[in-house]
Amino acid sequence: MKDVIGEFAIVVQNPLQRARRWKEAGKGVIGCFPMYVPEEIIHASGMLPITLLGTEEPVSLAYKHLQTYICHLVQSNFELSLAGKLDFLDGIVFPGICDSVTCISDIWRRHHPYPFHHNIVVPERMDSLSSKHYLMEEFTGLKTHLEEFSSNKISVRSLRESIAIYNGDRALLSRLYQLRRADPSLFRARDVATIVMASMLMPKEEHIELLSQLLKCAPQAGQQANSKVKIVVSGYLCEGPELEVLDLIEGVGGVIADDDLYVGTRYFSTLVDEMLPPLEALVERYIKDVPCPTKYNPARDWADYLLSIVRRSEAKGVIIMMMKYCEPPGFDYPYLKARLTAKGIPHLFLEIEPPLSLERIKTRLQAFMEILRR
Amino acid sequence: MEAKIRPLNTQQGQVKLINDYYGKGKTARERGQLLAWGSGICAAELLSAMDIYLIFPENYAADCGALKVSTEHCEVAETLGYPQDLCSYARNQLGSTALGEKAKSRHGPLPRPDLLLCSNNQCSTITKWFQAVSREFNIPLLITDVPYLHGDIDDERFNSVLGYVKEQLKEHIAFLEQFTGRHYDHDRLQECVALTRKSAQLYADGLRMCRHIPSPMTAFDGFINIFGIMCLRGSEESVAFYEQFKAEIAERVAEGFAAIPNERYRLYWDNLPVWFKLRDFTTKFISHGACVVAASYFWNWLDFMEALDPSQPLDSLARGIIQPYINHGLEYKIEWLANCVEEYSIDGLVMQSTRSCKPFFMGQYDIIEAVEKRTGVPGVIIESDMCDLRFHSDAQVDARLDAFFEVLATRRRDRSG
Repeated sequence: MKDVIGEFAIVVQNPLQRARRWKEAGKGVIGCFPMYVPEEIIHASGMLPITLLGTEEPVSLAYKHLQTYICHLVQSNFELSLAGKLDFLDGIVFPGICDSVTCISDIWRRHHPYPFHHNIVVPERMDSLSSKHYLMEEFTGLKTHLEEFSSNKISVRSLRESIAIYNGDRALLSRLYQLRRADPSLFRARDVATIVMASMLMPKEEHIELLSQLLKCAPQAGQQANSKVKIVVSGYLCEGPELEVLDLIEGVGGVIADDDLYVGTRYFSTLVDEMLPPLEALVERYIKDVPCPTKYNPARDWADYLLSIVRRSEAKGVIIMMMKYCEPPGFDYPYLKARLTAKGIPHLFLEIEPPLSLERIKTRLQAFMEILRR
Repeated sequence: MEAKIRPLNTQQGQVKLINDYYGKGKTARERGQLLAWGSGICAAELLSAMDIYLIFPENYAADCGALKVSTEHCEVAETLGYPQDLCSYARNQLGSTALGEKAKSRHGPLPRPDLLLCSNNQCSTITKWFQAVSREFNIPLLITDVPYLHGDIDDERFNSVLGYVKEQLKEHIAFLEQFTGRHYDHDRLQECVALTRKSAQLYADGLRMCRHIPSPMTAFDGFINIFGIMCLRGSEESVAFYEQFKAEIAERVAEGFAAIPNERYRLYWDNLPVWFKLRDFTTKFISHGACVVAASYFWNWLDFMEALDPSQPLDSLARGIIQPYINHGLEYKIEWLANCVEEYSIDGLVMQSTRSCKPFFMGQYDIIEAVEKRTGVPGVIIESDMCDLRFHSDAQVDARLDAFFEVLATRRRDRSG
């Protein structure tokens, strides 16, 4: 199992390398801002979609064009581009997830354009028939634009095949999470995050192969009583979590039993219905997706969802990690707080602003653990 | 002695309008009238036509900002768990509502709404804010979801945007009919749309008179007198107010009155007004003989309202609501400002970067660079906020502006020399 995890770690440690190799083989690569890009459509066009998760390297070039009070994801992705590190990309897709991503698109195009530049103006409402129709038009627009760009017709059949492959990967990731829920001590949290992150950065077919191998040799749930405190982590809604933070949680006596992270259950929980016409199925997937703070859908409540994760994993506490300057979840936090408190579930709120002060975070985690052990 | 400028006489009349407006909000329930809260640039006429009283928390925040009580409200919101980086208009309302009768506003806390109407044609933050309000009061929220107009939009996509917005307005009407138990009144909507358009035209006419050299008023007068455009939409009172507004400015033009004595520089103001610092900025500008003659801020409403057509009220509301300046991509903004520089004979761009308003501050570096390239006019970024005083540093802003006025002076000398 270690060897396979090592393979994933190589991809994650140098997130652009695998995609560059794919490009060198003469195939197209499309960078995607997180969350609302139906990657299956890009896959069906014969290109490789990768998620742009930023960089931990310091931001400097971007400050020529941006104020400092913008989230890390936007700053650091733009930094990568200005430094020329994304020049191998054939294109980039910006889904409308928030004001920052919406606004960076036009700035980006002025300073560092790629041959393919596409905005998916994702509706902010996900609760009406009209928004469903509009999302369908936006996804159709992406498909048409990709067809023009790649001179490759995306057939219903190829789209169905891509959806099946993506669903396959989602199912394997769900299986991994089931195993972890049954015995959270089986996997280190950093390894689980690495496996999910790798899925966003490498061809799905390869990810499926590696993950299948891993699951075959995964250890079975142990019988020994576990003295570690079960935790659910939530937040990091469009970025990868710092692996060091996950280490710290384990270091102070916690064990992550489940998560509500973008690089986590949010990425793979919702399958695409393979019985529906494919574009319609993709639209449905986003409408029915896990509750998302960037979208309005009163039928899908974030607090209900988070509580259900806590219940199913029998966690003792929740750690909510939100990126500094990220507005959408900030408006929901007082509500989450109230609902968790009403259920008697302790939580810790950490505002994340890279570069992190790990010492400070550690102190707060230790204090939180004290509360949970009481 | 502190330098002052002469306020518009018309402004006196606004005091009563504002007090009446908030006063009537408090008694709406007693009168048996439903009360809604709306976002600044929402499809307010739909509600006016249904006889629903409409309150705008953004105007309330500006009012709290001008009286410098907003920061305290913001701090209360932060104790509830709202992060400090969220929109300060939002934090102002959330905090003041939590304070209840202890709210610091001269109008007291905002009256409890029965319904909410908002549109993300200004930012996507607004829907989050209103969602929080909707949860707090457990009341329905109507969102008019307005897709952002990036520069690469073609006709087909534009039509799809328009279709989506129109469809939602119809959904809103269906909801409102059920909610109020009344039928949608097409004639009444026509009237409201016509009145809104009329006031917008009068206000815009007045603002456009700032093209005169010297300028008869400053854009700050425009900020102060925007109340009716936002809060009294679809009303006769608003039309009457802006008739006076326009007439007074026309009179000033006829007299050759200069808002800033010895006008030397004509400036453009970007982003939101800094409500708690309007006077200090004015003093600063007077000391340099500078007059702020234009601002994009107004056109968030006016581009919407001037597109209204009473003969097609619903269609034109849909067309208008997607039009605010701020709902457009960067190329549009650059083009818009380059034209503005020409039309208003502008010498410099003051780009206020409101920390808590991303759609307004993102792209400001690009706008300065591109507009200077096209027009030769320089710009400066100053960092502040519309109503959170903690985000403003006098020393920093002063230093930036002084350096900027030196640039302007050098350019002026070079040109005349």
